[in-house]
Amino acid sequence: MSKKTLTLMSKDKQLFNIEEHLAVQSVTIRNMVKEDGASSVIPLPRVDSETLALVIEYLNRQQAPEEDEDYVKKFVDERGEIPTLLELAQAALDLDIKKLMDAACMKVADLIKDFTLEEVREALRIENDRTPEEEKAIRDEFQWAF
Amino acid sequence: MAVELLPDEVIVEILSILPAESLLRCRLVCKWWLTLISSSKFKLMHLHNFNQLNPRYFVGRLDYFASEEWFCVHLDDEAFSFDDSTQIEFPFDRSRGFGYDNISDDYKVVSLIYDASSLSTRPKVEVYSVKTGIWREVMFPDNVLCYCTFPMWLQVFFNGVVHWTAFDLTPSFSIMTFDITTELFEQIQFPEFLTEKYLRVFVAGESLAAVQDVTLDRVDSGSTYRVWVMKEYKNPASWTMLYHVKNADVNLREPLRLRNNGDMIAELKNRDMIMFNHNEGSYVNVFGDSVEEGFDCRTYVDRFQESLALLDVGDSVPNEEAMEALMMIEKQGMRL
Repeated sequence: MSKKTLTLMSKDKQLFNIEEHLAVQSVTIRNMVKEDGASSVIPLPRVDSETLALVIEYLNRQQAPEEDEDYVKKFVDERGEIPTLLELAQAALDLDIKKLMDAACMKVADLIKDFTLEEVREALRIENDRTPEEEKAIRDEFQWAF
Repeated sequence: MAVELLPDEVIVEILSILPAESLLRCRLVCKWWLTLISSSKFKLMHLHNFNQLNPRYFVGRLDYFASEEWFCVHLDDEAFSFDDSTQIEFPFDRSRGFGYDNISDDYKVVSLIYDASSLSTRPKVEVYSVKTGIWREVMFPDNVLCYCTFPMWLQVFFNGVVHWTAFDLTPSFSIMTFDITTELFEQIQFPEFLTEKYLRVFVAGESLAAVQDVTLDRVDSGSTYRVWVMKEYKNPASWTMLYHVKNADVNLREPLRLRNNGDMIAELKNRDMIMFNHNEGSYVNVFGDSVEEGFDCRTYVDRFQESLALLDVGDSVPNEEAMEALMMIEKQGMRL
């Protein structure tokens, strides 16, 4: 039986090939394949090419099932930069690859757990929508937590 | 280039596995986060996700004469390590249960007070709600026949329900339950082949479990235990044997707890604590002995759960009864 290949397209229009039986670890792709055979190119409008290359590397892993947990952990550990991990989490969310999503989020949580408020905002790209007065009021209310 | 926002799902996933302490601070990050972190849905998600990733246990040693020592410990690297220790009073005339009612977002303590002179009298039941700060009496139903339990047999809180190992006067074993939301008692029967021997109820991962002592003669033959899980909650036909420990050499004194994967944490006759790996049939020593000879005590282990459900006790000084309830909560891992 010949192995069927699928083509994924990143947001910057780069094409990546992957064997179908590996690609269907992504629930999103599995559903597409089921519906229409996914013969054409599958576009991933939120995933850039660097991240997609990582996702493909992950999907192509040749791991025994019992070592898979350790492999995923190691895989995200080696890409320990927060922005990369967040891109990876977002791609895993879009592609519905639960293990990768969980591992990336876990690593980010571990990295930011002792961050200051400003560092958390910067890392997770959140804007502070409170005025300094509002912030002070709420800080006073929850004083015991700081 | 404008910063692209992350999808909400990614943010929520990350926050749900942060320690409670970090989350308390993170309420200040932005308005949305405060609403999210304060919502009961998120609190439940955090309770599940965080504790799943960070399984932790308490070890308690109860001195029969005076007080009880509790140690906060970790089990992630297969060894216990000390974090903290406190001593609390432990009344012997009652059994207690404790749990979080996610419908009313409240912690409740249920206290079963027995008449020490007569086992045939049903217990008097009192329920404490942390939110109201009031103890209320609740009727114990006539149709629950297995109502005897011992204070040192700790409850297991599972599925929103307190479970106690209970027995009747024949004696045969069963599980007495108390739904923390509806405040109703019920009884879960064991199938016949399980009722005859000494049993203890535990939780293993997502299932109710029981450890059955099938030792013929405790003194000579060493103990033999069978570990059972109830695959489908409240279905007595679904009890399945997971494994058994036959241990002439290990010399078990008592099973203390099951881990999520069903591994048994147990105490040996020499008071060392071990963790039994049931897949490999091996065990590791996790907690050395610190008990002087002739000193009579009882050891137990319970899960330590970190939770965001905050107690609205404010600045007021809680009364004695409330303090007792808060002690229970602290055991469960609530940070005040």
